Amino acid sequence: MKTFNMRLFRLSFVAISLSLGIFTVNAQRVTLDVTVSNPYLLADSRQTTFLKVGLTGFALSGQTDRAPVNVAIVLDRSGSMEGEKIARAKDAAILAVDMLDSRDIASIVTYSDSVSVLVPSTRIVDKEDVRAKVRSIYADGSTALFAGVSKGAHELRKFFERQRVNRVILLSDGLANVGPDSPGALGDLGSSLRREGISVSTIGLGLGYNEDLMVQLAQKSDGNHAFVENTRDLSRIFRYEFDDVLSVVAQEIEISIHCAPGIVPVRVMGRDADIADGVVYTTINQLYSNQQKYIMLEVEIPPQPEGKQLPVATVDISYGNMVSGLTDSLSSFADVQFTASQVTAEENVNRETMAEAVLQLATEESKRAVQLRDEGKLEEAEEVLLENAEYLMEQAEALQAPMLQGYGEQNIMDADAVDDEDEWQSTRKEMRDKQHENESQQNY
Amino acid sequence: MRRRLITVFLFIVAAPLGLVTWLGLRSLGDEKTRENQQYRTVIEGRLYDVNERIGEVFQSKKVELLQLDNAGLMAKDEIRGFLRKSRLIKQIFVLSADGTLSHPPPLESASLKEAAFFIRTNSIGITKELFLRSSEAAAQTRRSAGWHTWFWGEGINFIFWRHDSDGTIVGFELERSAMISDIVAAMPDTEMDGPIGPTGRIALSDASGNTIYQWGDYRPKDGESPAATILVAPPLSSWRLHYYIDMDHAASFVSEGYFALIGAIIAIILAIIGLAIYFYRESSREMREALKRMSFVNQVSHELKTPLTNIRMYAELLQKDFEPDSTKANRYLNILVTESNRLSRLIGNVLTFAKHQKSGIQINARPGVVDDIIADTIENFRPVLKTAGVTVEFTPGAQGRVSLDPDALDQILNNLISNVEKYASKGGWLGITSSQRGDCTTISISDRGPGIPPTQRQSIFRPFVRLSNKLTDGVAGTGIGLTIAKNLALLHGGTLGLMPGDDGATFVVEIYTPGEMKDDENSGS
Repeated sequence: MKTFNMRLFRLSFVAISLSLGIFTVNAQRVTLDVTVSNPYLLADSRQTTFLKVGLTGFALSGQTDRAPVNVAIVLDRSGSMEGEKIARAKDAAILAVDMLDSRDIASIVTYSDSVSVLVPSTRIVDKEDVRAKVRSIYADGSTALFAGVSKGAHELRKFFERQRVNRVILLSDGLANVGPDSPGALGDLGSSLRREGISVSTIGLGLGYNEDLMVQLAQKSDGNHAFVENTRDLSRIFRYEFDDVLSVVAQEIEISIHCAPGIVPVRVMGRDADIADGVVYTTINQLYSNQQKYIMLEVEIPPQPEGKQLPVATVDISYGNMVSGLTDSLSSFADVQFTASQVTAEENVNRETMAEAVLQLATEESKRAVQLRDEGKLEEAEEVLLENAEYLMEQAEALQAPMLQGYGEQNIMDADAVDDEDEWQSTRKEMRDKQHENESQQNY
Repeated sequence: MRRRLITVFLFIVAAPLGLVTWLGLRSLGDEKTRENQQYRTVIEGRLYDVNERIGEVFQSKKVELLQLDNAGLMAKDEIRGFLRKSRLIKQIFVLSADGTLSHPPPLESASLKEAAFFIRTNSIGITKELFLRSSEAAAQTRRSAGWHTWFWGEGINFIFWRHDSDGTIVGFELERSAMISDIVAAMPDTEMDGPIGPTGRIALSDASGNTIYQWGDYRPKDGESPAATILVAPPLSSWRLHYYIDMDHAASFVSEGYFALIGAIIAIILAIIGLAIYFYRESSREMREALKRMSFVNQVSHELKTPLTNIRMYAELLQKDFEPDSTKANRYLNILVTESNRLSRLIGNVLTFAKHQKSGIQINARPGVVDDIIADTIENFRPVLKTAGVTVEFTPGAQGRVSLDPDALDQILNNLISNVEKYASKGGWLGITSSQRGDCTTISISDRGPGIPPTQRQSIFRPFVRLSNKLTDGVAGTGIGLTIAKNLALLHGGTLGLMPGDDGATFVVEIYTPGEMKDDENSGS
């Protein structure tokens, strides 16, 4: 069913691409497609539009095709994990190991006051040995999260290969209290790991963890983040995560967007990017099979006469193809036309791109609401969320995008929770989770 | 006697024992200090090993950065491209030979990251002087390099700079989180090895004292101070390495010398105790043997008593059958009776003394008249005293029938009168007065003999004490008579004392004699 949907999605995608004269590539390569939200702009006025660089991973023909992985499972075994949490975490880790085979390398690291490399980086040959070691984990002590991630990454480096999917999977249920513990410090660590080719997926369990820290770490390293409120869902989330890990088709994707003369790149939404001298650089660490990730760039376009066709940007990407083992390069570009007709401009809006831009804008508003709520400005936060919901609903209808409708409804519920101290705890985690999902186009 | 012996023994044992213990504890304390010192040296050694590992992390970065070819790092785009892929380097700056900053570009054309770099380094001011002033000599050699640290944001920041041969300075600002992460990765896991094993914990803390990383199974208590702390080597010299030890389990590390010392002290203490026990046993054996001897004398006396009594009885019977004239036989008979009486008293004294020593004497009170007993005693002594030329002057004043032990009183009087007979017969006079006041009967016995020197007035009552040879020469005696008399008087609720006086000796006996039938206030005159 999912495959069918994806196929349909890709067909329509190709159709749109073709209509815009976009260069497409064959099946075993990543699909690059560059679009603008408003292909027709009103003449003679300065305006901003959104340039989207979409990347779609090709389908893997089967499990045998997949790239070998190198994962470090980093488990919190601090005192707060005691009981069902640690039991479920152990089950989830065993399940994860069972999903791997002899092509893969895994290590298991636990942390509390300090760090134990329970299973040093090893090829998964004797699963029973790994399972036995996992079963021996018990919970006790504090939370040396930074050190846990550091040691996990260190294990990955032992067998670091470009041809492997290198990932740290971090589980935590509490506040880091030994070692660096700020979202900034963990974000910096994440961004350093990303430059090295390592992503960190973070799984927050229960209501006690610091979602800002966990989201920052995931986001800066381009990993996934999940909020697991109910311990019973842990195995499911591990399965999703490993489904992702085991379906990586492209890695270390470097994207450079060269804006045409006169076009000013304003910002990249939801992702880190370097913008200098009209060139935008960014990277995506991993792209999964059949998954689309995108870069949403807001650009400012100078006034132009009617009928003029203006190049907006050319886009160059290069990435490691995990199936062929080669480095592929792709290029594409996007133009805009200028018209005097408001109707023409509106009729030609690229609804899909626009909807995604709206989603990014709404995500920014959602983040602003969280910040206001953190500052104790409850009413303002609620107002921002309600306005955001209204905006999303309007756009959902205008752009016929049910996805926006869903997020709008979510914003109303979030606004409801602003006043409620108890509910806010989990709502905040859900919001941060959703924001990250929107910004990084996470699969789950 | 026995108690005093025990006290002396306890003292003899306790004093050296205390001394040895004190000395032992002191040297144990010294040993402990020495051990602690050794301990410290060992754990500091371990901290220095760890420090070295941290130093190696910096060294490897230094090597890596020195080897970077700066040919590819001169142009802006090259640097930006390089930074996008460098996990360790956050920013690169280049100071040209003339001291101008050639990278990053001025703020107007700087990227966001470059602008952030200017903000971070605003407080230190990136100039050639900043790096060269501390190593001017090195600058002369045209190529030098070093670390520069400063505090900004969440903690320490690092720049590694190198002064290249063309005069430019290339600086690398390191990603702090990545540096810390690499240091943590270079440190051991939870498990600790080495002589201290799992009883310790090493913690690396930053300038504000926050723990960055720690390992070792021991969990220090809140506020527990580390057993050792050292500074981390530059450039991380604001950080510290701490060693915490579980002192309860640290004993396993104590050296053999410590045990040897404890062993020696215990051996000395045991030796002293052994010696004490030996001497105690020896002395108590002597005591037992003395007691045995005494008991032997006692038994012999007992055995003598019966035949003597028989001799006395038959001699007295015989005396009654003879006429009281002075036939030779009668005279011999008198001597026989007198001497057997003396022997009886002697044996009686020995037996009483032995009994007193062994189990104490019981007073058996029964009704009697004091003066009658005195009269009887005098009567018994009359032949002896007559022979010795002593006249007796008895002034009775205790005719009341009272409750008393006549045997005890008789023995007291016997001893006192026989003393007069033995030592003061030269005075030729014996005066006895008795009186009663309430429940108390007082008897005084005076002589006109040589008297008793004041210095010896107390000691005469102690057993086996006899006065100087001058007095006792040629006189038989056991030296227990006065002791027995005094003990009996004490047992009888009274006392025996020597009255001070210039002429002769006056002993005063006081005994408790509760009224039996009449004349309670029969006063003596």
